[in-house]
Amino acid sequence: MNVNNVEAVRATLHDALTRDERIVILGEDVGARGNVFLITKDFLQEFGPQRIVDTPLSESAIIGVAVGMAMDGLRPIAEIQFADFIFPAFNQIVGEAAKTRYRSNGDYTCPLVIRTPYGGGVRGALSHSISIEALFYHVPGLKIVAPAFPADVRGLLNAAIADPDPILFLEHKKTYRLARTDIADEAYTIPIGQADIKRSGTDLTVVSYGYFVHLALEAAAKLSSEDISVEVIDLRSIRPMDKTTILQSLSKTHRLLIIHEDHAFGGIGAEIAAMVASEALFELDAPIRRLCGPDVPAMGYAHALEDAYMISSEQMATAMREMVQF
Amino acid sequence: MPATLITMPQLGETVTEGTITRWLKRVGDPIAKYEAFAEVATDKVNAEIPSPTAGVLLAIHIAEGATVATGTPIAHIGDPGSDISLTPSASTLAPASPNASNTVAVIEPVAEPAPTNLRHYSPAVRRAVRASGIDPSTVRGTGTGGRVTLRDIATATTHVERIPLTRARRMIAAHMVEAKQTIPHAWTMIEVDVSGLVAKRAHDAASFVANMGFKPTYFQYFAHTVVQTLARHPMMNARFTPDAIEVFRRVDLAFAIALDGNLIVPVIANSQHMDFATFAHAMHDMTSRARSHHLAVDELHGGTITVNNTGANGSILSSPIINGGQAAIVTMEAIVKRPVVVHDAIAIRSMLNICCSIDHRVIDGDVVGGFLRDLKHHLEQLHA
Repeated sequence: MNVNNVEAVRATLHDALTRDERIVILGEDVGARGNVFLITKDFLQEFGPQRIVDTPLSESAIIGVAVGMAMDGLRPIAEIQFADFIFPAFNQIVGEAAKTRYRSNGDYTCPLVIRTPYGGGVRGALSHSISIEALFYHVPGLKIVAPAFPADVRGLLNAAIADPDPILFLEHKKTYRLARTDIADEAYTIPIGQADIKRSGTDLTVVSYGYFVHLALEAAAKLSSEDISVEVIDLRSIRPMDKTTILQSLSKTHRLLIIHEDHAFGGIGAEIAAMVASEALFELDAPIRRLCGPDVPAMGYAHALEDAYMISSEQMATAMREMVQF
Repeated sequence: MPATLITMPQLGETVTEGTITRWLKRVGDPIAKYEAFAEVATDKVNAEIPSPTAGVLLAIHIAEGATVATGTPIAHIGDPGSDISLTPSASTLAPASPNASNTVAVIEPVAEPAPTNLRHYSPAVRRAVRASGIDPSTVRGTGTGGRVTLRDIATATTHVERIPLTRARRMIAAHMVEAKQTIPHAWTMIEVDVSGLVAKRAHDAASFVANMGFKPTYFQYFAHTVVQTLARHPMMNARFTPDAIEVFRRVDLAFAIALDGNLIVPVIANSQHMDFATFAHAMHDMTSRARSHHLAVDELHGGTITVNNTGANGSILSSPIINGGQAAIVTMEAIVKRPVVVHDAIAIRSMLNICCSIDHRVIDGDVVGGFLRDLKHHLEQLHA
């Protein structure tokens, strides 16, 4: 099928609902409205209100109910309408879902998928733009997935639905309709925790995820005309971290640039940098560099502020060039 | 009255930039017409720039050591108080300020980037150094501030050393490719008995040193004989153009000198009029000035035929590439004593091979054959 990311999510959810009676979708506006991006449009009519559940505006309830469903044998796919709204459910995610297997000594698991659109660059302002991954990154027992290409979205969503433990499935809004590609019709899976080399190179390793992978690829393509060869790794899964792919790449390039939209401080890049520093110090021929969103509380309302927050492919190219020349 | 604006001169046909190696005058110094006020270096020569006018050095626009394109303003010379602005139109528009006109613009030399990071080796470099045993302080760093990168270590430990092309080397390469690709080369060689020349040189040496201050070289005799032989073989002193063969009426003899890994080809102009002493002096003088980088630029221009002392290192056979814009190049190989047949007996003679490449569009085998026959004859006539 030829799809963009929105259609990849929709097709994969539809397949899953058709395939597995235990699957339930619940969230704000997922039923009658068919989701704000029309991902679940007409699902209510097709699968009925027992399986497509419009919830009150209460994220703690959405996740709390979903945790109960998951522990009791259902396969809930909960939706948080925008990632910015997830905080009321923090306790249900961190305190309950992530701990279920540990707390019950393996008697219970929590096969829960929490889908949520995140990220900026879509004129969403303060409360429709944030990245939440670092806030949950710290939590053992939780897996975080953030694919940015239709084929990865389909494979990882299938893997998340099949996974026996809770998954935070992040969908970058800016990538929803960014690219359209042919992907396989069957319900294939991509292992969670496996990064993908989106472009091979020899001079510099760039690690990124989400929308910025697209921009990093643009920058890398531009630099190839300057005889600079950049390898771009799309993490796809934020946690667990695919150390192998990163370290193998570094043993070839000896330079690491980490790019993400989320803040630098205490972020995903910090953890990757620490991992590389402890496991591959003698591969490094240049300081590890992070190119991340600024340390400001939110993405601005004004367009100029939003543009300043988002890193452009030109800025990425400049950083890449500097790293290679160092 | 505006001052005279001096620009970087074009020091040679293919020269596009020059470096001010030294200002011989300071701002405020008086300068006579034709007096040198700066030294300029190019890939090929060092030259002094003579002033086109008498006056005072009013402004220096380029710092010592700076390299600029030809035509770039480098100085103003003129009467004190005259206009030294770089854009004439702006000077007429600008309000006259009594102080401004006296201000001299002296541009400070651009500081070399400070060598930083030289002692700071990255973990990857340290590991590579341990593995290879190379001393990183001996490796030329190409990273920021001269930092030795992992790639620099890798380069230093490979079996191939990469030597970046200098402008001169690029030019040599371009000229060689151009000549070899466009000129259909033909090649021939002749053997000459120069026993007489060997005796003559030994005989002439003492008086030459007394009169001229140097010992004549075989190459000087050889080259001079080539010039003389050309008188009866003008087609050897010619060039091919798309519409016509152009035969030069004078012999501007180019001769190759290897210099610091470069090849330079000074030219003895109008050599057809020179007796041997004059010719030998010209060649001796140019060779020594070439070695001290004091050839004038026009001494490297033109050339209507080239001679090359390929025998200097012992070669007895070579296949030279013709210089662009010429039709022939003649080499003198090493003079070696060999057993040869003279009057049906075997004699030990000093023998010389002469090799000649020709542009076959201009010269046919018969022409070069006749030239070499006469050259051989003239050389064999020389005696003490």
